[in-house]
Amino acid sequence: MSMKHKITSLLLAASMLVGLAACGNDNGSSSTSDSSTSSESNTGTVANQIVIGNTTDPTGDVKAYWTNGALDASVNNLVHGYSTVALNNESEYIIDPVVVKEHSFTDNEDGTRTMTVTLNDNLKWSNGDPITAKDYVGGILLFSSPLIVETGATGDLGYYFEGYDAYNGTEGVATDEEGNLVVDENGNFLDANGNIVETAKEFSGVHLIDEYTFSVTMKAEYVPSFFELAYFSASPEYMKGWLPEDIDIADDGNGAYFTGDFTLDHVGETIEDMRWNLKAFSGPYVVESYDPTTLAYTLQINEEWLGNFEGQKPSIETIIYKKVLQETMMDELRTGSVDLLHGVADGATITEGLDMADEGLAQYLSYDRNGYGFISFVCDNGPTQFVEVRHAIAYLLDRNEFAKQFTQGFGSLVHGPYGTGMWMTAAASDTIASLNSYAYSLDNAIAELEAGGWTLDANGNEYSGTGVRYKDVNGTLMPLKINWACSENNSVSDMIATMLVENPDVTTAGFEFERTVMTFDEMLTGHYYNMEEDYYNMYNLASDFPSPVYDQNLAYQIGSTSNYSHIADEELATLAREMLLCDSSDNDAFLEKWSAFIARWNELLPALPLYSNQYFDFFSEKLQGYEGVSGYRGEYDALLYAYVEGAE
Amino acid sequence: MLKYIGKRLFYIVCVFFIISIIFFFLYNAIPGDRAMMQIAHLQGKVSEEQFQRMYQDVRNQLGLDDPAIVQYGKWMGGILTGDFGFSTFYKQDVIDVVVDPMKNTIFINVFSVILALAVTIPLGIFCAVKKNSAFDKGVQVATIVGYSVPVFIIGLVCIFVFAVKLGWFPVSGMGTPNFQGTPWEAFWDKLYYLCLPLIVMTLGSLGGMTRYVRAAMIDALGQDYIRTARAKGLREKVVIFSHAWRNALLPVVTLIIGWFLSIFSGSLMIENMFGLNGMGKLYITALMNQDYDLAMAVQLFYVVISLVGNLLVDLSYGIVDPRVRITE
Amino acid sequence: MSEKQKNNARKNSLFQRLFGGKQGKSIFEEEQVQSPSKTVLKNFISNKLSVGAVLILVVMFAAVFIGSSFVTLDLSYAESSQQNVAPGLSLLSVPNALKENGASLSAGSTFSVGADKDGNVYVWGHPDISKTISMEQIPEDMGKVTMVSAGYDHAIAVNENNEVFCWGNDRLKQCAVPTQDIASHGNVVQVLAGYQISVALMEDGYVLYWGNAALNDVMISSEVQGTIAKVALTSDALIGLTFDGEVVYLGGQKTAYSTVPESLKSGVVDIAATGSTCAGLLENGEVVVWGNITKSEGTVPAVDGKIVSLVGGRYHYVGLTDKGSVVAWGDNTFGQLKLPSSVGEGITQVFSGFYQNYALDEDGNVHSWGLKGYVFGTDGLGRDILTRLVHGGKMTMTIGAIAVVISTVIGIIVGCMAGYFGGKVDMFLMRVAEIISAMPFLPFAMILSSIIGNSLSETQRIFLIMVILGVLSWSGLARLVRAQVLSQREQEFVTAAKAMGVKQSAIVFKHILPNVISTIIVNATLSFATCLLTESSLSYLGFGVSLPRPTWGNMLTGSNNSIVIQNYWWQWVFPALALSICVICINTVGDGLRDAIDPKSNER
Repeated sequence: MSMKHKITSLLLAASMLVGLAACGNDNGSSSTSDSSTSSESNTGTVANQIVIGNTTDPTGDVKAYWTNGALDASVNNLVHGYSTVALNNESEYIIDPVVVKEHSFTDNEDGTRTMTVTLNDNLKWSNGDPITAKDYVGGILLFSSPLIVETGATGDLGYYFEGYDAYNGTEGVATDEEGNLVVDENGNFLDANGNIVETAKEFSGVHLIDEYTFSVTMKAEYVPSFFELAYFSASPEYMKGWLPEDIDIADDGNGAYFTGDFTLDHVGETIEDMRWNLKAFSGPYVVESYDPTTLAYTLQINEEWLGNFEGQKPSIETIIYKKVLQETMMDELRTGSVDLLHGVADGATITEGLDMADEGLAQYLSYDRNGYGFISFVCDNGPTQFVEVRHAIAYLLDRNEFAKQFTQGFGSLVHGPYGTGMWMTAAASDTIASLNSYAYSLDNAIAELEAGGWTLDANGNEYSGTGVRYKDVNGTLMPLKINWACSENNSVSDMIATMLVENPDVTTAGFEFERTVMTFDEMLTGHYYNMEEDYYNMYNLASDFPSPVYDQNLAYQIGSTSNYSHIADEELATLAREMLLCDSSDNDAFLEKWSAFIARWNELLPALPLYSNQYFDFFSEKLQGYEGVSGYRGEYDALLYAYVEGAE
Repeated sequence: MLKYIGKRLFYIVCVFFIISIIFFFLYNAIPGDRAMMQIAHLQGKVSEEQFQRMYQDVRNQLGLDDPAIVQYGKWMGGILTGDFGFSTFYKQDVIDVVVDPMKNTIFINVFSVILALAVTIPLGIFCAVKKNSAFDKGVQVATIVGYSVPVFIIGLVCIFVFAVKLGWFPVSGMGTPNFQGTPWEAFWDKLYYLCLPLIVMTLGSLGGMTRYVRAAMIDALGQDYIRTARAKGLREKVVIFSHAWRNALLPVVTLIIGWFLSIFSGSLMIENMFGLNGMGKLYITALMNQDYDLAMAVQLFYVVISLVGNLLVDLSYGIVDPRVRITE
Repeated sequence: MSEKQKNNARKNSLFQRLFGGKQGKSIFEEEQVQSPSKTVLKNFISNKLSVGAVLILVVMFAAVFIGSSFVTLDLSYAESSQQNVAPGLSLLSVPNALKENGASLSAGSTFSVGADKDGNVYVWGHPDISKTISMEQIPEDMGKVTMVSAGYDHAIAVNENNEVFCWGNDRLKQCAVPTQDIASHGNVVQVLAGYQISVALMEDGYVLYWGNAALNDVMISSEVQGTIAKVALTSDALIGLTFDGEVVYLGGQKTAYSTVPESLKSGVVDIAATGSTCAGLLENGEVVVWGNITKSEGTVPAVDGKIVSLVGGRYHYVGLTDKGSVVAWGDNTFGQLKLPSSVGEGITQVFSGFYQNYALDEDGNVHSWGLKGYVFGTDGLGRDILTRLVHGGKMTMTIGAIAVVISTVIGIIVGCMAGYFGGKVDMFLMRVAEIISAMPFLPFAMILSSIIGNSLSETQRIFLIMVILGVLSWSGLARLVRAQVLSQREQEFVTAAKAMGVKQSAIVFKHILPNVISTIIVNATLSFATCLLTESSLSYLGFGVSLPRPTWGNMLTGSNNSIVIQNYWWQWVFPALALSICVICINTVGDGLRDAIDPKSNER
């Protein structure tokens, strides 16, 4: 027995020594290697490299078809390029001259509209292979196919093109009484007379004309559309990498299609392999490596890239995208382990960053956000279905104090679904000024409630001035009780709880609020997204318009699954649709429809906007020439014009 | 003894199945529609039928429509044959998702356990021997502060002192991104990044371990045989280390093995604070995103570890303290 | 024995008993036989450290449970002007040089600015706005300053030759002084520094403003421009008094104070404004208040004589009467209405802003009353940390106690039974313990908060989470106790007790348990500390006590950010101290108890 003892104590002693040695020795080595520059640059000059910090988790899944984390998306923007339509410095959509040699539009008799594109023949993938029309057509075919959906991806790339429903297998599927699609036991769809809906082999709206020419046809219901160019845009996919050699793309005249055995068990592995290690890139950079331990991407310049729509090429040799923590990211900037933080919105962090700028440790630039934080109401059940209740809640939340607390001055108050960074907000300033700002007022709230009929108490007689108000809603007494679902660890929810739910004026006005904390996803998918009658009638969220496309059509059509506020207002729905269907050249018509839409929205208040804050980018001294970032122009566009000071 | 181990292994298998059943129904009791979860972000970008079709596809893929028992059967069958299911959040097989975080967690915890034991055991013994001395009281208060202040506060203060002010260590991460160098250099670079998290982990865990070692040693030192050992004229070092320490080892062994098991469980706070890609963070991400295949796989892995660990602890009684006869 | 000796003996023994160590008894003296509980008490008392710990614990329990009835907690309170104020009571400490010959003073959010008769400018209170911006960076070459105004995070000064200076936070252009416009409109009559916005009123009635217009509704229409005699700022809007005595709203949006009452259309002598209300003073001394009256700013008290001038603070007004006396009404949370005795007669001017008030008498002496400061500072939403610490402590301690009591009781029962009976019982109980210890706590909390979340009140939900925590965490203690009981079971006294026919349960709980008590106590005290911390880790994950209700745990989670740790140390040091002291004391008491109870440590 004692032998065993000796061994255990020996083992312990040995591990102690190793542990101490490991740490001790290490301190010695740490002082030599300077953490800010990468260890291999032993020469005096600064490495031509910057490290960008992002607070979301990278997954290594660059393409945005499966998962779309913010960090992965930024990398995708830097390595995926040559799309036929680009965004110029004034945030307008233009045809990219570097990619497209010539293009033409033809209006067909059936109301559809076709855009034919001839590519320049000097475009190359990062591994030297030429880029042809097959790469563009193949990309649309692959990422609209039912097959890609089975791998877990979203198969909606060609959604706006004619023939998508047939190619994707959703043409003519029957729907049962409450509106969901008829399905047989192993899950394939049935049409009206019960047989399985076949998916078409050809994509009728997408044509491969010759090696460098292809055409796409827009569905009739989206012609004309203000953001036409954005919907016509197509970008190349490295088909040699996505699909095995024996699959090719052909077009016998009625739509492009894949030749050969295009089935999941034949192509599945190749797609999965390509997804996790992309073989070739068409953007300014290539993905050199993704390291799951340090949660960082390393990108190198793509020598084959011909430049953006202005021919601008990047000069920064290596870009590293790294995960940083919200709690310590400013320290990373201060200690030099990160060179750029994009899109900082929190007031205290901004103040810290501006202090560092005063101390000469960082530079900054700021721009208005194209989005806003808001409280969303459910407008088809519970007390929030009545417009006076929504107005009363708006009057009982001091949104000016809320914006001050949350943005500490770096932001502003919005009274409709717009961001201060949008050109429409500036252009229609008189409409914006005339909007009802619902400034805090207990009297207005009580007046609206009484006008709306909330004048009873629990057993139906006159409201006594205290307790919860009731209203006679076709026979039954409905209490003025608001059930609010919010997500955990959310500073906005905590502030709403403090300034609205606990506000004594709210009880004097006759309201009763009840807050339930749940995970963000359960709130979003469990309740907010689904259409059936639900227990909750108030949520708090934020939404952004990442691109100039301001498409509120689906969000306000009566009964559509993406009408999360369940608002059913004819005027609002028609305005949202007409705004979208203006001609793309006619800005004034769009602006006039937009102003009418915003004014009507401000009257109905399907949601209560809280703040539209100012974003800040903080970056180290060595990054020069980094400017012009806006809501539509991400850090990836601005980096093309930037350079590292003192790099060789 | 072998008969006992055989019986215990049989029990472990039974407990494993009971727990897996409880887990399966526990996780599915958490409200929220897993299929909707995966495609929710598409609402509004896709037409009605397209959305319905994808929703239906995902439901078939996850087999949400068949009865619970069948779902459990399929899931359990997969586990036994090594297919741990498909992670709906990372859109990969669970096995591939777990590999990297597991490697990181083991790497971190091996050093953290070594460091912790290397500090707590001598400290505990010394405090017990020098009971009620100024040093003992000082250590008690210090370990308690480490024990009673949340780890993320200790972490942030250490980051401020060591990383920002003194600049000895990096603020977060597990290695210099885009690191070129020999694997041995890569090992030191990784260790350099992990020094601060290790210090914080050890600070956080000193309290508990030292107190147990000290309590056990005090008990042991109070025994009669120590008085006789001293009476026999043995050198003080021998008395303490061979007699007292051996007897104090009984409760301490329980904890050492419990600690050894913690090598596989990540500590969520440290991983969140220093941005380490470990098991704790993976489990929480999986749970928060209702990715139950991944969450259950990670959870079952911990269950197996803790069951085996308990067996080791019970067996260690026999080795360490012959008086404890384990009844058949 | 003489009286003195007797007294000494009694004094000596009392002192000895309380603070002296256990005096060694001479070998021959035999201790009087006492009941076990008496010996335990005697042993415990003799251990100085534990007695001290008990005292501290009693003080903390009293401070938390009794204190919380004195200090009212208003869950709806959030004040953007009092964010992140450092501890200290210096908001009203007017510098001595200014005390006797004050000319113009102004109260800012967390600092005040004053100019004396010979034009020197002083700043006092909490001047630092951020790490690099401080109100103490007063511009040097200001010459003789006649007027000052302090705002939310900047200040303005005007010197005798009509030059306007501005210092403090300029990040939102609140210090971008339009010098040409000022020059083109003659002398500056009045300056106002508001919420990141600056207003200058010129002698020809022209109003200039610059700064953060996004969060302030300031817009002067052309027909009113040039007719303004006086201006006043609420927290986000501007009102003006025209030369012919009419009150006008100088903004674009429809707000609670944009419709001026009829009675103020003419004959108005003075105007003032608080955060959310405005007030007009008529010739006959009558004050009309309109806007969002939430803190009784509208109830003007009866006053002997006529009010001749009016100033407004954050939620209160101060009026100066023709007799030179002062009257104040409105919110009194920080003592804004508690006029010091020295403010009786002969007051020539009153200045008020936010929560500080200053009064100037004929010969320039400055009297001040109102908010002195915060003992423990304020947090990110401007709430007093001392109040939240007291109320948070009450919640945290109850939560900790519930969970630890449940888990210890279950742990002891299961541990003893498994250890003593062994065999089938032991195997079954240990397997149950394993299943329970493998249960992950978080899914339970998630299910709880979503399924029954909305049918239980807030405190019930937390109580239930703690019961679940207690039920889930006893397996560690059970295994420890079992190990101890296994080794105790073989002792002679157990076989003796069996021989004497003592009942099984008596043997386990009366005889074996006391010998195992030391591990139990250590574990109980340690798990009390863990339970206190679990509340904080629960709120870290988002399932603890939800804000705005405070606990020590969620106050610490709130400072989980390096900016707070480095800049606003008081937001985490005080909760961390409270938690540590509480846990240290509990553990020391635990140690003391264990040494006192443990029969083995009583041998001489």
